[in-house]
Amino acid sequence: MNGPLFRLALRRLLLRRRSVLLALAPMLAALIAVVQAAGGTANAKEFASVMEQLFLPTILPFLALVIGSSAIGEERDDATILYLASTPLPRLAIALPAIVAAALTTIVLCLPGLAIVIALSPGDDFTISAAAWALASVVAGACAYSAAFGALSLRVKRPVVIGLVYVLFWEGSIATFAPSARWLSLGAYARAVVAGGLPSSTDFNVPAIGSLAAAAVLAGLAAVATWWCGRRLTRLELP
Amino acid sequence: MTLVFRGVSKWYGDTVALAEVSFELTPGVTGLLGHNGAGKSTALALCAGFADPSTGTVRVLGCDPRREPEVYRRIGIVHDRDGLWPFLTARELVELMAGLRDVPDPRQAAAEAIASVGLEDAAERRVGGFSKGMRQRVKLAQALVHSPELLLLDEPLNGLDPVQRRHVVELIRRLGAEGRTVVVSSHVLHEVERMAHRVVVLVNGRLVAEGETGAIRDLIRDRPRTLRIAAGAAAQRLARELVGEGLASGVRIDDGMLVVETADMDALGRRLMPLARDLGASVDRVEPLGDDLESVYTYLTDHARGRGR
Repeated sequence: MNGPLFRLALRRLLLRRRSVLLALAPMLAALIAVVQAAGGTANAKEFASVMEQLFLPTILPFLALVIGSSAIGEERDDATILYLASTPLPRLAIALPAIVAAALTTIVLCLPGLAIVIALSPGDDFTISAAAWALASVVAGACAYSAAFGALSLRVKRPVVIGLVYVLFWEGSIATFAPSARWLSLGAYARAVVAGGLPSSTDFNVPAIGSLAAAAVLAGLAAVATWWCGRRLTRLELP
Repeated sequence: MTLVFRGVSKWYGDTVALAEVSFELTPGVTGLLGHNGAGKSTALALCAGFADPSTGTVRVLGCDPRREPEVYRRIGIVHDRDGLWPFLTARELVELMAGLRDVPDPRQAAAEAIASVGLEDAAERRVGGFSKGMRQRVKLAQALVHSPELLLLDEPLNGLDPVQRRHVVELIRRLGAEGRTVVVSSHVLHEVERMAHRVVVLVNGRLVAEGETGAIRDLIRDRPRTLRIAAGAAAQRLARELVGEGLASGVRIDDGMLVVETADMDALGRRLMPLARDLGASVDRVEPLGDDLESVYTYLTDHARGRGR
């Protein structure tokens, strides 16, 4: 991966005022954890509930949408991509650092909220392993969502609007609560990853697939979407 | 040939941006002239590999940049959009572009490119706070940083103050004199005249003239030409004779000088002095009017628009 382009994308996506506001979104999950802790109801089941029904299907994709869609789409809109396109780099080498930087930015902005949720979820059945799988689910989900929304930004004119409809009506609603949709959702695979560290009794609309396999599915989808971004950039006529 | 356009057309939906345009460019500075919407930026975008022609072939340094991105090591591009990464300093931006184009010593190359556009004092400032003219010079510096053989400059003088314009015009002339192929698009004709040894004129997406300025004039030799003749007191008699012999399509006296419009410059040139001698008139001075590039361009534009699309 091209280091200078990765650093450029990271500066562009992470070091801006918007990041502070976006980092507040995961605090909603933290707030729920605080309420649960204050009420003495914090446990692995409640932790799973917050992660599987709120954090992974709604908060994570919302952040990835805003960040991922600006990873390449914003450069196309403000024409800075013309500078990158006038270098000998293959277009995939331009897309990859942007997607990786978007995923990393999404993860970084999720971390404070996630850390609070984990810290406030002690209990006999909550282990370090659960925390590690929770982190893994955020990482894998961030990669898949960022790549998917990066690809969306190269395909449609209003990626945030369309992405928001997708997040709210599909990932956050139908795919979270309808068992028949559990195989057709990025969030469902992220739930399958976090489920690896939690008792099976806490599984919520999770596809019947192991955590590692689910992570592999998300990584594969991220790779395909990133490859598609490179291909799309190759064919796209720039402004 | 550095740059070859062969039968190139480009359309967006129902809009024809370029129609059957063919030209070849060699080292030196070439002006790409045309009014807004004439197809200049489209032509440069095709040269830069940012778009595919709808029909025809574009070859840049023998390559197709859309499929052979390695050629970008030899091309420098200033596009007309204003976007730059606002959080980078001028030095960081130019150095980044040098690195991405595999320049062996990006830092040194960036320093030289920034100096060549006179931006040393602002090199460590973020480009987000730059004026339009400074941003334009950053764009120029990043295009020069890898010492390219071909430079595609879309309106490079936009936003520059007169001193900066003079500096950049000199720079472009120097680059052409060094043997690089420089394509400068502009609608500011007098500035193009100062830097380009040849011009390509686009009107409504069609190439209406191409070549040395003089060669373009040859191409349009049949256009009406205007001469101002200092013929003293015999001006009126001379005018009558010129019209009588069918050498002038229009005459008038302007500030004591005879202004003659003619469609046959060669015949007028042959007959003027004998006629003046026969009339006892002394012709002190003959000067062409409207032979500057601006007039040629205006004529070509009107001519092509008259034919319509």
